[in-house]
Amino acid sequence: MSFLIAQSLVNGVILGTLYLMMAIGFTLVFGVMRIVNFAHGEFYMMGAFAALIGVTWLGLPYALTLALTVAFAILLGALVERVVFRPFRSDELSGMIASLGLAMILQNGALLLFGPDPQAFPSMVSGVFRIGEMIIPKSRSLALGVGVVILVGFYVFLMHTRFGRGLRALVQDQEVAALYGVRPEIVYPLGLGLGIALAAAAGGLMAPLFGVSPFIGATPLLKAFIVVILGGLGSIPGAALAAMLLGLIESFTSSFVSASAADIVTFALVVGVLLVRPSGILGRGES
Amino acid sequence: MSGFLKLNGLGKRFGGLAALTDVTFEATEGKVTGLIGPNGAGKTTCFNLLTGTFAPTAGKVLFQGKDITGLPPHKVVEAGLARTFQSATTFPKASVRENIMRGALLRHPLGPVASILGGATAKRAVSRAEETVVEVMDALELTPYADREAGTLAYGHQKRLGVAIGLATRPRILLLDEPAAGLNPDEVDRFGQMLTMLKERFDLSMLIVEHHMRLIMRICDHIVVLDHGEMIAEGSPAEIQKDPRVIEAYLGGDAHAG
Amino acid sequence: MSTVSTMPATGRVSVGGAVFAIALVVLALVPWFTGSTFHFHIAIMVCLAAMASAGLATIAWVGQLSLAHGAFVGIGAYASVLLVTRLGVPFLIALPASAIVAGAVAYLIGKPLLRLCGVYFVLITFALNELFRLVMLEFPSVSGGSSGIAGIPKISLFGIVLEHQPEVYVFTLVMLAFVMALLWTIRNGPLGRRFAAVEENLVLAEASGIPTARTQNAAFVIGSAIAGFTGAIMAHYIGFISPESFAFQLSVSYVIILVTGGRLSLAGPLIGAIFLVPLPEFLRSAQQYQHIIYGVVLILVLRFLPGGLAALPRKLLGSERSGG
Repeated sequence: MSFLIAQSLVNGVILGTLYLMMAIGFTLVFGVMRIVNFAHGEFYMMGAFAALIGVTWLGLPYALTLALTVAFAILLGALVERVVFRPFRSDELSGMIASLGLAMILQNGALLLFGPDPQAFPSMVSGVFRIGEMIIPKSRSLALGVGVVILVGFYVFLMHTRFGRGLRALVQDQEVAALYGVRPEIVYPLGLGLGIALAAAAGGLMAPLFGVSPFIGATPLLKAFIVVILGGLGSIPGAALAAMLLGLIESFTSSFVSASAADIVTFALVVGVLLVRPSGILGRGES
Repeated sequence: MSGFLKLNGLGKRFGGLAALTDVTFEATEGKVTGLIGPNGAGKTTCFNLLTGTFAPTAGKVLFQGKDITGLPPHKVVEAGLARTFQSATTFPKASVRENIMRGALLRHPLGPVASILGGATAKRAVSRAEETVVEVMDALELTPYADREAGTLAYGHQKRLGVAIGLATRPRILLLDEPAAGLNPDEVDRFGQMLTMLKERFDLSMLIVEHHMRLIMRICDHIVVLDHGEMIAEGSPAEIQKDPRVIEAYLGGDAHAG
Repeated sequence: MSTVSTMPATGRVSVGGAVFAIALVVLALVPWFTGSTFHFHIAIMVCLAAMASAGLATIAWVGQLSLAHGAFVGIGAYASVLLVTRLGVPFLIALPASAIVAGAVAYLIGKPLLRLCGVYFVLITFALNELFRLVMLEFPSVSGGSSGIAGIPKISLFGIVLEHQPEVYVFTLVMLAFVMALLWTIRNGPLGRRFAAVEENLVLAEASGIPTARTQNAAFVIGSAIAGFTGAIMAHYIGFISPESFAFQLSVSYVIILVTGGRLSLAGPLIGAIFLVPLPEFLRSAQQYQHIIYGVVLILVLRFLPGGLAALPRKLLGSERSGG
């Protein structure tokens, strides 16, 4: 029993890390652009395909592939901001509907290029770590470790660089941000680029664990939604707390009850939180 | 007389912050009451509590003897208190006539079937409301613009339309939130005259929140002064102008004239 | 101004209206000209999509976008199928009953839901649509689980079974006309006036004595009831339903139809459905591009035609001042 609990704990933390990467990117995009990005999951999918192409087609090392994926995602984000989202900067609803269209384009584009079948991703590492009775596959530890490094790196960037401070100011208040000297023509494309780069990195990291196909974006998107609803749109500490909570709830409910029960529990929780505290567990009340 | 519009120990806290504490005064029937104070004094909060935007955390609002504390805004209007907004607030895509009609229909309520399916009853209600619309448009000199889309009007006209929509609900008292904001000195004077005229013509009482001292001193019969969420003075314009606490509140500390 | 304003239409616009009406009638007759069963099928799907989207439009008229619309279609579909197959209720009674069931669910959840607005309302309706799907999958005895319910009896009226597409099409067309007439009446009546007021300026509407919460809930109930009504016809026509039939994608397809056709006009959902539902058939050689085209159309319409295709004639004629 205690073994099962410990194992669920580890799995929950890994899931939580993935969800957090998705959710932070998502919430950053919402905070900066005021866009609920329904295409966020598709960038996860593209990240996974980018990693697949890098590793299997081009034969690049995994680490280099991940770095290239992130760089590619930032550029893509800047492009998408310019072409799709810029006209809807002040219109939350239209921006959100546009992101639905973008999601369709990206998913079906991938379908056209790669076909519907799941593609195998070669395992990057094999074997397991044993801690007492607990078994942790090395592949999962790798994803967890790199994920944490990326998240910490991103946190440091956000907290301790000039540009990061500007981004945070923009999330807090668009007018204050102007006083910080935030330049919209740089900060919007780069904000979106960074947000979706986190999703793409998550895709690249999780590809060896969960496989690659044009349809893999839906679940991470859903989880990002849940996390930001629980944590409050635009709140990073809220997202961190909610992501871990969600990862643990899922891992424990599916170990001890069933996987579908886990889904229903989380969705009921989402509906409950939205009704009682629309701004999330840690969010500030809206008037 | 149980009083006209009475605020009794009204208070509001947002989280741990007291925005308004123990405000008690009365707006007398047939008079113009002014509510003034430096920025952040709690005027807007007080206004929002009166109109039902927020529910107070303490105290009561009584209107013609009836407790209207915490009623939703549309019930407050129904009770006879109409409000206007600080910025020009209209239904931008509808005509001026239609804007006013939306307010006027309040006094011509319909049953659920008639309001969903329309029909003769609904048509009659509209034609009766039309009288109010015509009268209000005339009073606010908006008749020439009756068929213009509200969003295309000049700012001053939009502000007048805001008053017209409120008036169309046939209020006993009109609550005006900074009516002079955004108007040039000329327009402010004309707006003042217009308010005095409306008061006579529609047998109204008024409560005005305003920064513009000249307007307040000219048209108010009675003035209430707030500072830091508390009432510091009330009296006639002449009394208020001499009151040392008021002068202190406006000139002392870090307050700046607004 | 024909569709946006609640004021009576002017002479010039009614000419446009007449042209539009004639075009609609001609379009509705197309399947008989070609005589193709497949075209009848497409025409039925256009009618159903237009009907459901008109329900979504009703909710949009008070300024809310629901992503749970597909779930309400599902509620109506399941209500009707269960009434007909389990209780032996005639379809003609099950049909309005399914609208009532969907409307009642909307009424119950509408009050707490509609305190949220803008993207928050979208998010919660999105979550509810997922919750509906998951819960239905959990109760296979009711929903048929992931394998769904097949062999649903065909639509039958007073003992006459509508076996063939042309008959179903006539029935669906009449039902669509009924729904559109109802919505036209509502839109031009007192409630429609309140809808417009709430959509244009919620705070001012409330301050003018309009009970905005109740008004929004009325729109949500009416729109969702229409979704349920559509679901019942759809289920008995197609003959198969499963929780997956009413997933998020269905809600999104209605949003696309509505936005493309025109969010705030009555004709919008019709135009959107007529334009988008048959589109894949014309693009058969390029079927794999279908969803990509939908996505591109959606973004282009949002960007260049915020009023949807319904606003196109006015935009082309340039008869109206810009803005608004």
